[in-house]
Amino acid sequence: MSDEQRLYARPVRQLFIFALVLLLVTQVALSLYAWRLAEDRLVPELGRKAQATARSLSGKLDRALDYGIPLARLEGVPDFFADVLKQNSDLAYLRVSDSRGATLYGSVQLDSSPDDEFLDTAVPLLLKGASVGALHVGVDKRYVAARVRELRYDIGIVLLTSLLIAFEILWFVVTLNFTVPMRQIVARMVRIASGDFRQRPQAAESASLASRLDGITRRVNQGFENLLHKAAAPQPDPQRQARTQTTLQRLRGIYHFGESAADGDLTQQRVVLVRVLSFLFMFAEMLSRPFLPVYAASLTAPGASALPAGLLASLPITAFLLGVALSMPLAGRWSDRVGRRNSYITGALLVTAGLAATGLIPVYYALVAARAATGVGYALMFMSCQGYVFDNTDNSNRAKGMALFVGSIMVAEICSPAVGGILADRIGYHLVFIFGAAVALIAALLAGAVLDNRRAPERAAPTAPASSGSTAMLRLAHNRRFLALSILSGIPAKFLYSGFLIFLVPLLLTSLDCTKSEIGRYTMLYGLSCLALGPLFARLADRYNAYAALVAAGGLLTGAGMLPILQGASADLVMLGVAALGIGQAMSISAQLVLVARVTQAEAQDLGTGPIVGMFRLLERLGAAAGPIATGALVAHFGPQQAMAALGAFGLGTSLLFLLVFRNRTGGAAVAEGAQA
Amino acid sequence: MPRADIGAAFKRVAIPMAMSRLSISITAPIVLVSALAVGLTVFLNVGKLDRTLGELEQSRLRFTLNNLRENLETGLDLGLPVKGLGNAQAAIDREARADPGIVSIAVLDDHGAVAFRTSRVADGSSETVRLRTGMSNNLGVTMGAIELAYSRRSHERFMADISSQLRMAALVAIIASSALAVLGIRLWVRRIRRTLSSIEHTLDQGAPPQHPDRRAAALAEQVNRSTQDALQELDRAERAITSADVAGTGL
Repeated sequence: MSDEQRLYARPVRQLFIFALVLLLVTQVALSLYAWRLAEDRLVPELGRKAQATARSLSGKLDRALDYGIPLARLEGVPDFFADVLKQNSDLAYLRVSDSRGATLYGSVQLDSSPDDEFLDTAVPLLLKGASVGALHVGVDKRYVAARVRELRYDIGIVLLTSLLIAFEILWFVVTLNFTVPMRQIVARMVRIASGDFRQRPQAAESASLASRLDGITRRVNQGFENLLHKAAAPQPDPQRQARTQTTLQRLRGIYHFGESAADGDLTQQRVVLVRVLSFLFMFAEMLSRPFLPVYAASLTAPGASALPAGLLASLPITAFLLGVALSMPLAGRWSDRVGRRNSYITGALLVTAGLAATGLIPVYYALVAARAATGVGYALMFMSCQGYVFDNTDNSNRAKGMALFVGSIMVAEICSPAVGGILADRIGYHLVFIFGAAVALIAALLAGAVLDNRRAPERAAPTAPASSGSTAMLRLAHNRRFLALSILSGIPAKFLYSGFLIFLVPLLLTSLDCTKSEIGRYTMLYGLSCLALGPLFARLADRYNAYAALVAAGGLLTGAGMLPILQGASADLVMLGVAALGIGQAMSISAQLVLVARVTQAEAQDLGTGPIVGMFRLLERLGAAAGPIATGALVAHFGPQQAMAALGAFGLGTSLLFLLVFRNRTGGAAVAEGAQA
Repeated sequence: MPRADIGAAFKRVAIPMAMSRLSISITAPIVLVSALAVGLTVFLNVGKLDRTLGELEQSRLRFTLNNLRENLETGLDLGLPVKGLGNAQAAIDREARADPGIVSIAVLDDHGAVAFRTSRVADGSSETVRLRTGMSNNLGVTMGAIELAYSRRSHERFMADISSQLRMAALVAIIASSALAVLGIRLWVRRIRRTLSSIEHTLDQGAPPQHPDRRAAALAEQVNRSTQDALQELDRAERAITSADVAGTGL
């Protein structure tokens, strides 16, 4: 980083560190206070249990003593105590001591533990009114602490989410209000220092620093204008005229004068607008992920009683994904026509209406319709954001723009299901949908405030004659490698993503008595894996030219991760499946696109890459739409555990076939080279 | 151009008046997100405490209920009917006395009719929780049940008390973090202002500010140098073009 870049990058970094530390310290301090308070207040409540126990047990021991049995010779006391402790996990120990305090019976694993960890309740054991010993009932103060600290995962998620949201908002605010203008000032100063005095149209004349820089460039340009004016005056001596021209040329070689085009920095930074907007719509949509299939299964569907519950639970998810898949190509074109702001707001309002209807109308068919409408809205918002990135970037910075856009989606993928799960456990499903609707509405309002409504710029006409969608489809249908890539990798990846992660995981974990918060936590593992490992695998693929190998390995890992469930359903094995899916997709997502480009080089010369990638995406999305319904059918016939194993087998099978196809095609050379296509 | 006009943002950095707007636009989201997160943390903690307290109460009452059941089943094992359990009234009265939260305890026969009841009777209001356990003899035949009604008032008082303490703590946390945010952002903005001021002073070739940003000043110095060089070059070239120096040595 140059000294000049440090002028704006360092303050920004310091600001982010300050804000994030502030949030972290506030929440950790409050949580620690809450836990300390809970321990202080709940331990006496636990003491009441100890008193009740002591009262009851001492009564029994007193009766035995009344029969004339000496305290030291009571039979079966340790077994009796062990039985009581087994039934009362909140009790730490039971102990009988004689009148001198020596222990006669008891569960004594705690003798080595410090006394202040236990709350001891002692009651005297009486024989004819005289104390002959004491019964001690102990509760472990750590029991309450442990119960309260079960919240640490939820609090951790609140913390992580708030940090990510704060990061997103700060990025948005700081980029627009500080980084962009400061970068411009610094860039202008650097240019002037290097002799570039061209005027920039963005400079705000009235701003003190900007006007100073304008003043400098104006002065120098004015000087050069004067010089030109004088040089243009007729000169009788041709030698002198030649020398004047040489002087001007020399000055032009050292310095730049005149006007300059708009600053590229500004255009580039507009993309940050779309980051917060895409985060918001993804966040609103994904809140219901930990419970949607469970909620759908809980609604009665008149007239559809013949359908098994698993299938009923999957239909609303399929409706959503089908809505997305089918409307996305049209949504892109419509967004180009009506402008990004209008299309984003329309999409956001559709999502708002869909989520609100889902929350307010607990009717199965309304849920299916609302999810389909939400899918259309989602497609509109997605295409508006993507289109905005394309409008405001060029080949030199498009990848960076797309990374910003995709990054916000991954952040939402991490935060949203976890927050949705926590909220669902506490305020119920309906209010979570309403909350999602409110977030989508905020997104619509924000888009109205910050997005401009430019239509897509006219793009350069393709060098080859334009082809219709059906021509593209026909040509691609004859490309066997494209078909193999789509059918054996693209479609299965999305099929497993929607069938397993969106549909089966909530269903399976609910059947394993996991709370919605836990389901949200498990689900976020997918986003975390993708966000953390995606860039790493992309670099590895580039470095070793191992695109096909990574696609195959990702698919194999995903499938293999789902098979251990056959040993017996457990939350840990489901989590293993989610992690394998996350890592597998991180391996294959970016490599798939490179392979698409490589296996369709011939078609791309005629059709352009856009329709080809569009076709691949359409196939993927149709695979995603099929995932929940096919998995629902599997659940209906075999149960969720076997359905997960079947998905794993499917993933393994398609990946092995993919491996075979791409290995054979390269003459047995390293799979690395779908590249040779 | 986006509505949030970037040109206007450009001005924001440079005009001192706008600094306060920059402070506000950065401080506001930090305070808002912090408040939301703190609120959600308190909400989660209160919910968890409510459940934990409920579980502790249930555990204690279940113990009492099971103890009573074991006690009364001793009589049933001897072949006595529920109504014939001579120790029942004393046992339920003793338990009810021991825990002021117990509203009533009733021993029911196998038809559900009350055989024994403590003198305090549950009013059936929503503020009571009821626990019930069946009684059977040693042949496994269900002979009746014991029903315990417990007041939720102490639970609610406890929760109201602890919630208000947590809310107060949250308020303090929000105020403290907001104050820190305001202070921190002010310092941050001051630092930015220092950088800009160092540039302005150097460009104006005035006296440097009290604590100049050396890196910014160095850049502005380069701007000045480059400008001076350019102006001098232009001046020399102009003089050479307009002078009578036919040989062109000035060029």
